[in-house]
Amino acid sequence: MENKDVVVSVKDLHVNFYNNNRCNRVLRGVSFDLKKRDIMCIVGESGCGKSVTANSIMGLLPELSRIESGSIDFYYQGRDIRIDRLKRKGKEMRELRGSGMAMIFQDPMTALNPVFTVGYQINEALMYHNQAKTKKEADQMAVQLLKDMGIPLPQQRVKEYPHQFSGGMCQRAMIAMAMSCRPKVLVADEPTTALDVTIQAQIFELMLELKNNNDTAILLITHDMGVVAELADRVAVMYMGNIVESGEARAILTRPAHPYTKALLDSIPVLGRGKGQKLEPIKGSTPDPYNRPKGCQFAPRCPYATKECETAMPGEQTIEEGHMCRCFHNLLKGEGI
Amino acid sequence: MAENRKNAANDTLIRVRGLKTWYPIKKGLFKRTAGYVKAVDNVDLDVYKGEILGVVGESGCGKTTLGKSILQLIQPYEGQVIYGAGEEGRDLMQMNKQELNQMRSRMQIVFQDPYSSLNPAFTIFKSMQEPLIRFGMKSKRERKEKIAGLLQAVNLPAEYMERYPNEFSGGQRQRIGIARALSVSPEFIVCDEAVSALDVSIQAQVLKLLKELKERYHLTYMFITHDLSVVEYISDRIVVMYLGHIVEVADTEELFANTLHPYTKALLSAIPIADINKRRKRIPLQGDVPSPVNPPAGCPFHPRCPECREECRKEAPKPATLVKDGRAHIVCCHQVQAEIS
Repeated sequence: MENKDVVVSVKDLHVNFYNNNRCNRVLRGVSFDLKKRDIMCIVGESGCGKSVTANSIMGLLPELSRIESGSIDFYYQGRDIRIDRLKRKGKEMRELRGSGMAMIFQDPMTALNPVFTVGYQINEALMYHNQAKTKKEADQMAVQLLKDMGIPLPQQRVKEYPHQFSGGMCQRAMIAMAMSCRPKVLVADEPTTALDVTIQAQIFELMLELKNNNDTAILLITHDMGVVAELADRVAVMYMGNIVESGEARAILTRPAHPYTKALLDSIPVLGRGKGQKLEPIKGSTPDPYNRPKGCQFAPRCPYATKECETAMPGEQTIEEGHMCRCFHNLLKGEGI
Repeated sequence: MAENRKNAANDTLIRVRGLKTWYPIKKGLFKRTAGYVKAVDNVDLDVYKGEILGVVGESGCGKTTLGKSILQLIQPYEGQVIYGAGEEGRDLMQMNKQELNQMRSRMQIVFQDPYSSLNPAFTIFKSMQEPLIRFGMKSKRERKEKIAGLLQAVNLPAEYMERYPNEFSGGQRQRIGIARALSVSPEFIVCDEAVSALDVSIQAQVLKLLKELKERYHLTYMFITHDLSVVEYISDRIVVMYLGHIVEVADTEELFANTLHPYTKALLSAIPIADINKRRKRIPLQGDVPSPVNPPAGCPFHPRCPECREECRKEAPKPATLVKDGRAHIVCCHQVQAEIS
């Protein structure tokens, strides 16, 4: 263990999906460290591998997929656990899931089981991980958890079914469930995409509280740059299965080094910049994952691309302390870095 | 033009007065009407010619219902939707089916989901020729030429008309949807969450296209979205809705610079801004949007309002109009009204 604060360390992760006799190389060498009390955001367009990264950490990859190479280390209770080597449905993985690491899913309405009460579903995790000895105790804890999440009338609400909850309340119940065993790592896969902005703000307040009270490391997956600016300590920008740039949120948002990050930031309207703000759309669309460009994945859409970019994927370069970029023509080069 | 636009009837394209779209809730064996979902309740609104009118609000606040009610795609319960300026204005609600069908060539809609709004069994040509046949373009060659021109207008090659929807990406389909709406040369287009389903990089392409087309064909848009940063970018005027009511209407710059309604303030503060130097204080709203079946008495926003007063619980506020530099800023709030007078 190099750094005491690192909770999850992903190194050179390759994941392939096998569908219809074709192989989709979804992740092509993803590396990052997740530190204690850190909120790390993964941003990117749909299909870039954000969710697959999250699911590999949780051991929730679909059936026809395989971690080809690379490693995921989880430092938990003084041990170093290789998640990539654990059986996905094995006993060890089950013990980790929920207690050591927990996940919040994108769509709260479908992630909860409609035929069980919300209280029952929270109890399940508590009982399985021996947080509560008796059912009565679990019930009390579930009520307390819902109360902490700011759900009104929790005594009554635990006995209700998910369909009686609104979207925001379902998501809060999910967070209650995820936090019930005080995990070290919380993976949130687009937790607020399905919610309204006022509800989204409430959920973010909750997540920040949890981070501060429990020292939880949060891996937040989003496609909204606004969310990144608001919450993230560190950011990883993904494109077609690679992390193309990562670093401190402020550095990435104010001085992006990768042309893709810059293009992404230039293409979104920012509130408060007024009607006349200039939007620069990224030309073309993301390539077909079965028919990828040979070299740098962004080369066909990149205004800076040269011959070199078409032949090979650039390696990881550290351009300044804690700021990594995969590009031959990183935009900070001119500044003497 | 800006000075006298407020009262200039010549500039209004659509006048909505007292529009109510209530969905009945049927109960029991005989489908007795047990109550109404008041999706749009008592809305007054003017749409001016050549403007982009943004409509924002949380889900379930009646944005889409308002758009569809104006186009008569949903039959409103009561009210007036007067299309046309001054003397020529005609109430769409009073028209019979034939007259209404004729009016359809003047107003069109672009739907939210580009995956379900194109028939998967039809080629693009087949999907797009229907409105043309409907409005009397008999010759197939003529139709082909027209569609080729339309596809080019939305930056797609004309050959694409022989393809099926499954061969296109979301952004391309949305552009086909826009081309289809344009095919009958409308004056007024309702864009119902037209960019919400698209990825950010594609969103910018479609937004830019919509702006260009507006200039080229002198269109008027009603742009419905929940994304305030998009609305700020594209609209001239913004309508904020809450629970079926309009709570604030103002020019874009005015609304952002001088926000009056407490709901708009909270909504603006809740939006994450993609600019790290602009972190500000949020005004947290408690709880969820109440059910439109049982809206709260008085001001619809009072249970969540941080500035709620006694009268807000009892009486619904009336719209108050502030005039600043000749432009109207309409707001529905007791607190604001008290401050003005």
